[in-house]
This record gives sequence, structure tokens and C-alpha cells, in this order.
Amino acid sequence: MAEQEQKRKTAKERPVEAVEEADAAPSERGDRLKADLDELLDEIDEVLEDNAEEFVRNYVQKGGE
Amino acid sequence: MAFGDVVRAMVPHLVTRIIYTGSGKVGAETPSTRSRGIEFQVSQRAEFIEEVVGLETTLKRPIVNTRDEPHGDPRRYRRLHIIVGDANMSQVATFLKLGTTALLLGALEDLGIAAFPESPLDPVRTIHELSCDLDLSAKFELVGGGRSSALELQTELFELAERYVKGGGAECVGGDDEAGAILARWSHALTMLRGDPEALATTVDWIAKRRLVEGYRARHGTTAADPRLYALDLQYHDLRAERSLAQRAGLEVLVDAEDAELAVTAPPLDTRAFFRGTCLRKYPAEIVTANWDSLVFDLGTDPLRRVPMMDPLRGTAAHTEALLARCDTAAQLLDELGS
Repeated sequence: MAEQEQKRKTAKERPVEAVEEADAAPSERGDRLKADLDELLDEIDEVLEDNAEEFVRNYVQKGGE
Repeated sequence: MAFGDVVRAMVPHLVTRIIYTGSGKVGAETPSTRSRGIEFQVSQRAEFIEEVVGLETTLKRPIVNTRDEPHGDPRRYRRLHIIVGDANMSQVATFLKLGTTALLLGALEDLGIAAFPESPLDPVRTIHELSCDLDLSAKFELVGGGRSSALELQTELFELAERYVKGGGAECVGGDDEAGAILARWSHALTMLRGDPEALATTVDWIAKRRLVEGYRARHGTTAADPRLYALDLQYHDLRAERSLAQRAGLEVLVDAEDAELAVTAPPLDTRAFFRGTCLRKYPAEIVTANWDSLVFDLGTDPLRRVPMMDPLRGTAAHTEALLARCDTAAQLLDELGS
């Protein structure tokens, strides 16, 4: 909520810049998220159990009382 | 406070909070959810819930459990045993799961049941349906007529908690800072779930997990039944650092790794855990059992000596630090305690 108020203030004082920021933000965020996800998927490929089927079959939930 | 009122107040929350506390799950594990052909769920446990209230924990699991062992003085403390919650990896989700529930319990105690919104007419069916409702559009019937969505009911509960805090209720979660943080994150989660759920991929487990699953499927072109997706789900929760996918998912951190490491061996200062933890460190050879509400010492002579700890807020550093510091042996400690 504090963040929203801050943004509103900025927009009032420097309206042009605020609009530019707002325009650029969504696609920038999208690109960054995609790059992050690609990197993350590379990591998953590295650490995911080699024999997924056996890993899943051997998983036994313990506890639960 | 009648137990029926606790049930009546908690059920709407426990059924609908999964939209931000759900851990997500690949596929389905019960025949009825399988028959829906569902590929991903909001909640891990929802489909295993079969009753509204009950004592069981391993079959016929209820939304509200009646196990009433308070691990404290039963004349002053009660226990609300909840098994409907998912195992969270996101610290923010854990914070919200505990914080929102604690605020609502405080509100129930101080404002009474009349302040609470109506329950879903069929809570068990509703939590099953909400777990399969990935776009959060499902509506369900309420007791006394009318329909609501999970987001609408959560918004009502949020507004109730906000009113309660404004009216002086913050104390039940530790004060204004804590209450403010819970309300701010709760409100943020509901706003984002409404307009931009993907923005919660660093705080809400089911959204974080779904992002990994969908990304993996897109990259490798797997079918929904591919065992690698089930392995990915399990490994999201893997506690081994070298295998954990949650640790790699960019989740927001509230407690940094150093503090978490420290908490493994250093008890909190402001509960009876301080007394218990310090005794275990100082007199390990003499302690036979350590429990929530007692320590049992063996000083080599019969009988064993039991030290009760029936009040969670006694045995703090403020109460016992000096005592523990001057007692080099367990025998000295028990002498001073006069037990």
C-alpha cells in the first residue's frame, strides 16, 4: 500500500516520466520472468532425479498423525 | 467459547485460504478427483478431506480436528488442531497461513461469532472444488442462501480482520507491526490473485510450482502423466539443498539462512522453549525425556524428577536465564527449583 502511494506522488510531480515507466514495465517484467524461468529450467534439468519413475514410486509419506 | 463457534468461524477460512496457502499438486490421488481429469491442483491435501469436524487424522480427515490436548494448563489453554493445511515451502505462505488464522481466532474471541461470514453449505465438497479451480472463478452455495467465490469470502474475512486490528486486536499476533505486516501481505495476495496471479510466483507455492511444471512441460513436450512432472512436484519440497527445487524458485525470504541455522540450536528467548533448550544443552546426560510441557531428569537416584512446564510463556530467558547460569549441574537446578 505504501508503494502505491509513493507511485501516485511521483506521477503527480513528474507525470511524463511516470507514464513512460508504466508503459515499459509489463514487457520488461515479462522478459525478465522468461529469462529467469529459462535459467531455472536449466537448473531443474541438472538436479531432477534421473530415474523419475522410481523416485516417485519409492516416495513414502512418513508421519501424518 | 463453544467449540461449535470455533468450527463455524474457522471453516470458511480454512476452506478458502488455500488460494494463497495451497502448495499445488501435479495430478490427483483420489478416485473422485482423478475422475475430473485434473492435471494440477491448488492444494495438496484438499482432496483427502472427507469430514467437516472429527477426531481422525489418517482416515476420514476433517477440516477441523477435535484433538484437544493443549500441551499446557487445560484450564487456561485450548488447542485447535488443524491438518487441512498444505506443507508450504514459501516463507510468505507460512507467514500468511499462521498470521491470518491467528488474527481470525483473536477476532472470534473478542468480537464473537456474529461478526463472521456464513460458511459454505457443503465445506468438504467446496474445498475439493476450489482445489481444482485454477482460475479462481468457482462459486459455491452458502449456509442461509447466496453464493460466494473463494476470493469474495477471503475479502470478507480480510475486512473483518482489518476492523478487528483497527479496534485494538493487534495484540493477539504480537502487536501493531506484526498485525500490519499480516494485513498488508494478505491484502496484496488477494489483490494479485484477482488481477495478476503470476506476480505471486515468489510468494504463493501453488503459483510458483505451477510455473515450474508448465515451463518444464513446454520445454520437454511432456504429457500430463509424465513421471518427471510428479518427481518435480516431490522435489519442489525436497529438503536436501542440492535437490530442492523450491530453493531454486526465487521465493521471497523472510528469515535469512543464518538466522534459520541459528534457530536449530538456539531456542527462542520468550517462551518455555528457552528453559527446555538450555537444559538440554547444559545437562544432556541427566535428561531422560523432553516434552512440550515437561522435562524429566534422572539424577541417578529414584525417583525420576519431573519438571512441569504448563505455561508456554514461563521459562523464558527473563525468568530463568540467571538461574540456569548459576546452576552448573542438574542436581543444583532441581534443588533451586525445589521440585
